[in-house]
Amino acid sequence: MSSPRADNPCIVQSDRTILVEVDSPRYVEARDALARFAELVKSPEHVHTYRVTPLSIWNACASGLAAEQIVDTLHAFAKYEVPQLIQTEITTIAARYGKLQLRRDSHGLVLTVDSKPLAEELVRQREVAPFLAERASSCEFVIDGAHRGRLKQVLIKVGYPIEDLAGYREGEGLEIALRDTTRDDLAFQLRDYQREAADIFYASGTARGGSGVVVLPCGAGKTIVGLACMAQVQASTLVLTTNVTATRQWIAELLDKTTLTEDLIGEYSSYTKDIRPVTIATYNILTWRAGRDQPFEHLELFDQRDWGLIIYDEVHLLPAPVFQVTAGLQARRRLGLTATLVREDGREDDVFALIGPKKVDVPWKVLEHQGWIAKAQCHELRVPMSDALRMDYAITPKRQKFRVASENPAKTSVVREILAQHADDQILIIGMYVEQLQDLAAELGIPLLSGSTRQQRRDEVFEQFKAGDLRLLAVSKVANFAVDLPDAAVAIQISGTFGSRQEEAQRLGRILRPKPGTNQAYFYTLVSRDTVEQDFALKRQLFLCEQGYQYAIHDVE
Amino acid sequence: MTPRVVLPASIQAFVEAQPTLPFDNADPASDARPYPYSEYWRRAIAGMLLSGRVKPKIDGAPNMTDVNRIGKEANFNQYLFERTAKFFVAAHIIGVSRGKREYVPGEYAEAYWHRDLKSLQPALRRAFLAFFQQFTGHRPAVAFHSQLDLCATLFAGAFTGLSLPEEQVGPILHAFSQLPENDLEQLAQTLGLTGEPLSAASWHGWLDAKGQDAFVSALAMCDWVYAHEVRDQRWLYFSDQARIMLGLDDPPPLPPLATEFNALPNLCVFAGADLPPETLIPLFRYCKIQRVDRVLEFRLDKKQFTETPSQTPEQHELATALQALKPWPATIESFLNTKPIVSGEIRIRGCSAIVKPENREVLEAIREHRRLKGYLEAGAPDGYLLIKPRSDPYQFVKRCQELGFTVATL
Repeated sequence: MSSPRADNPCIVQSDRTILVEVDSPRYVEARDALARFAELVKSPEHVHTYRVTPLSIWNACASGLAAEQIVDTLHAFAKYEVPQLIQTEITTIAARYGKLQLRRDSHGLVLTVDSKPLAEELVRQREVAPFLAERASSCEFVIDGAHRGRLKQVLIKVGYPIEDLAGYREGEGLEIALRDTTRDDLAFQLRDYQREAADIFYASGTARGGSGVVVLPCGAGKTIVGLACMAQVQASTLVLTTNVTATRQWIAELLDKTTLTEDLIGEYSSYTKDIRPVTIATYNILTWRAGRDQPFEHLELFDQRDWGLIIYDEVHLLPAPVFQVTAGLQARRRLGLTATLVREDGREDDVFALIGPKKVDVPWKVLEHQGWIAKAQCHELRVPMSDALRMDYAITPKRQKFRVASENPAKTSVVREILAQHADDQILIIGMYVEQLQDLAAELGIPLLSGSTRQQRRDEVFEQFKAGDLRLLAVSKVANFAVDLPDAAVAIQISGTFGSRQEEAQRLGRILRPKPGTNQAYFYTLVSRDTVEQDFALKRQLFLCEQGYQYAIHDVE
Repeated sequence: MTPRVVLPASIQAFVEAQPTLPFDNADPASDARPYPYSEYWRRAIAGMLLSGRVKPKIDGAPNMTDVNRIGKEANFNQYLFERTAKFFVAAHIIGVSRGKREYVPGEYAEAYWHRDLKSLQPALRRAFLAFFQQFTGHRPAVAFHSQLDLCATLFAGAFTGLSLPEEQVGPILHAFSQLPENDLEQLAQTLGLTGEPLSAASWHGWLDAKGQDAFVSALAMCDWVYAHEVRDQRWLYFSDQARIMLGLDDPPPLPPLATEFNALPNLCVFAGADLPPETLIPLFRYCKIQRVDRVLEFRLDKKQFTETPSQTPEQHELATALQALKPWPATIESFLNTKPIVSGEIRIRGCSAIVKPENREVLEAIREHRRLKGYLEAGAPDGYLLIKPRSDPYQFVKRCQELGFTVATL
């Protein structure tokens, strides 16, 4: 066992967090070692925070790491003594992995418990007992296949993970391969981290892989990881996305970079209901119902084909009804894709239990250093209010102050100044309040896309923007997610959804596709000075700050 | 295991006659060799007390509403906080300013923050005797003159490396105190104690049944005894820090100090628990406490920052504490320029009622009326009238109604 060394980068705290000093010469070595059993919580400059959780330990165990190896790693990189308590906890938690195994045999799905006392303890757990009604022997329970997901959920909550070795349904076979050249004859190959993510997810087809979440920054090519996973699984695939624009981008990418042809790809949205071996659907259509008491009739899509893989794009937005269905889909391979595994409703645990553990999480700055996403400069511009507006703001009820501050008309002249500074760049102007965007778009003479814009018009405008025929575009939150606008280099955020961290990150993500030349993107957020909007802006920026981005703050006179 | 000294024969015979279990303080699994009283949590409690966020009660114990609030924020055990706060006060490491009702650095604060064990030894003995006095109830004598700290030292020295059944510690202690003074003197010499001359007679009268309990409780309050459980029975043993503070053992080498100090753009501040109090106390005062650990984690929080009462209106105190980290990230720079809401000057005047006439004409009519103007005083806000503090507003209302005004309540 190694002794603590002053030049080691890790400080192991007694609450199982690990602080890692980025400036240490052993940082990279430590980061790679920690990634196997600790979760990266935040990664601002200088000090990154990791946390060892029961889930992260069980993930490590699942990948073949022993508790002693985890403890030895901590000793090897620790700057101070590793608290004894942590060593004991890691050993105790790790020992729980593998005590429960789910397998398939002649009885069907069978849960095997490694000891009789533990089996007795579990059948006495109120939450677990309903799933363990049928006993095959003193330590074996026959499980209803429909309860596989729920059982995993409740057992994790009582502190016993299931090692799920029951495997997956292979689903309807589908020949799919990635192309070497795109349809436009451009060379195409997976980047190393994309290939690695797909390999980790698939795990050579064993039961140890096949379900999990891949977290990559916006613009890092999560869709490509999805395509690579499809190419490994070789089965019919259902892809769920946030909106129709994203659906069509998936279809375009599938046609451009895989051997699939049009007749094999279907769109399932409010416009068409086309179910093919690869079907791309929106969350909205799946959760549509005629009335509050009516069933979600489109959820049947999950059963209408023998899907071998289900991909949840922007998994942090997965709606509750889809969670429920997913609990019954544990026999199918499931891949979650996201840039920000931050759910404003705090249901990250359900993503873990039902979609799968986080398999890959690459810090944004790592990909920025490697040149796979654009370097971004973030600026917060604090705009003053006129005296009249300041008085309005002062007497406005508290709940409406945010809107008054957000719609500060003085922001328009600041937008003009930014436009003048970036005269040659393609620029997105993003806002939350449609009336504010309408006024600004009218004043600048630029198109505006909002929720009420017809899909056909949206597609046309996005195409014009991508082709470079359009330099400026105003968008409401319809463009927050999954909209691929590779050439946009500047984003101006004139208002946002209160303190939403994931919205801020997603909006920055719109301009992070690699750029020719300096590979530089600019993100401006305009807030009214000394108002609640300024306070919310601070909260919005936290996720990006934790990913290593810094905001330069400027007071506009 | 702590090496046992060769005890004088009579003492050795006494020890052997007692029910004991060998105990190894140096068990690596017990985390038993920290540098005495330098644990991060103890320094954090000292910082929290001196930050002003916890007020003392009359007896010096912390106000538990404050402790509960800060304990929830920092995810810290409030009973450990209370116990440790009482210990700091008893040891004069932290004092209580009676006038302002707040915790202030005590006589031994410097020694504590700088881990000066030599200077802390009398403070710890004083704390032990103070607790003993408190737990033993009213006595005609003062425990500070009882030499019971010396009794504890000899007792710990005699039972080095041994633990005693918890319920028998009191009677064994009593029997120990009754041993011939010559034997005890010899033991003191063997242990190398060269302080004031022993007077075992000064212990007598203190170690009755209640005194025995008080003695054990006082040892526990100073973290001088710990318990381990063997065969369903609790056994007490003297801790390493007791032996060091009582002069029986040398202190271990000073461990590496946690002096990390970083301010991050996400408004987090990481501060090693071994940083000086000038740095730590403002952080406890103005920031939200995220984590109490070897490296403390704070978050700059606008609500906490602006609502904290401050002697320095511009709240330079926090900026000064963070001075070493300049240049600050822009978010922190901006945060520190936030104007506190609790500063600046306010002026208050009293009045017995405020009157809002329907319009300026009515206002002037009242102000000029010979039967009403006597009730009024100057300096009312525009459009209002003020009734003098000593005038009866009901009398004014009655007069107004007699004169034909309609009166309604604001």
